[in-house]
Amino acid sequence: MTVHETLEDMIAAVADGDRAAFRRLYEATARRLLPVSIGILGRRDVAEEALQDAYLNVWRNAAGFDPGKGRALTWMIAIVRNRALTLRQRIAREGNPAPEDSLDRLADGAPGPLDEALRSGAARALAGCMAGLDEAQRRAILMAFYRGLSHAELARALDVPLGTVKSWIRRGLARLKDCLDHETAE
Amino acid sequence: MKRRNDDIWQMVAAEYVLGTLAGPARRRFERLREADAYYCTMADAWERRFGALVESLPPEEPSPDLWDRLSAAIDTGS
Repeated sequence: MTVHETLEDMIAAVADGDRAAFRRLYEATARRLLPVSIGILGRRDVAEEALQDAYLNVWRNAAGFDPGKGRALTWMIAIVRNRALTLRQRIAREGNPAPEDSLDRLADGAPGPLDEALRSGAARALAGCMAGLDEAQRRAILMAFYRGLSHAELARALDVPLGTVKSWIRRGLARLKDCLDHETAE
Repeated sequence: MKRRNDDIWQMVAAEYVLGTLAGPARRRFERLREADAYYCTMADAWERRFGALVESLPPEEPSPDLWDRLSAAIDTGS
């Protein structure tokens, strides 16, 4: 093990079938990724099931990770969200409604007093641009991201017509992109 | 390399990453992403943008036995 083994190094070793590296990868990331899964699935036991599934996916597909295209954590977050969203849709199809969202605890992506200094530049840029959206747009986008809600579920939760939710999200995303493109161009 | 309807595809990619693109449209975009670097680059960029949101979530400790279950699943090849 090197002194500064990055997640990217670990994934490269995992691609060669290195179980010890996989364990280190798990230890380094699981507590960051579990809340992503819990947010979408609501229940911890189901969320851990999706997380396990996601790590299996990482184990099998580590060779497919391209360090030239982005950070390892970004890649893993996408895998976890995909597994969690798929499981959530399956549970919904089988007629077990997703647990009622406790939206009060919804993280808003806004800078907290304590962790501001610890945040990456990307997180600060995103928080700044999120803060520039209309309240309704921001709320809809964050609920979709953290809770994995569909357009229809968002419309129900926010008690507005489906078309309204769709336009909040679309306009919010377009503004977000403009803002972030502007930030990175500077 | 921009294409026609670039703005529209940007929104499709964004909603794919956000998760609000569902059903057949989601699967269709997934296939496009796998087959064509144009869509893949777009989706990657949105994953990078939204990935930053995860930083504001408080960490959550997994059950101690999750690693064992994961390890067993690898062993059985399931």
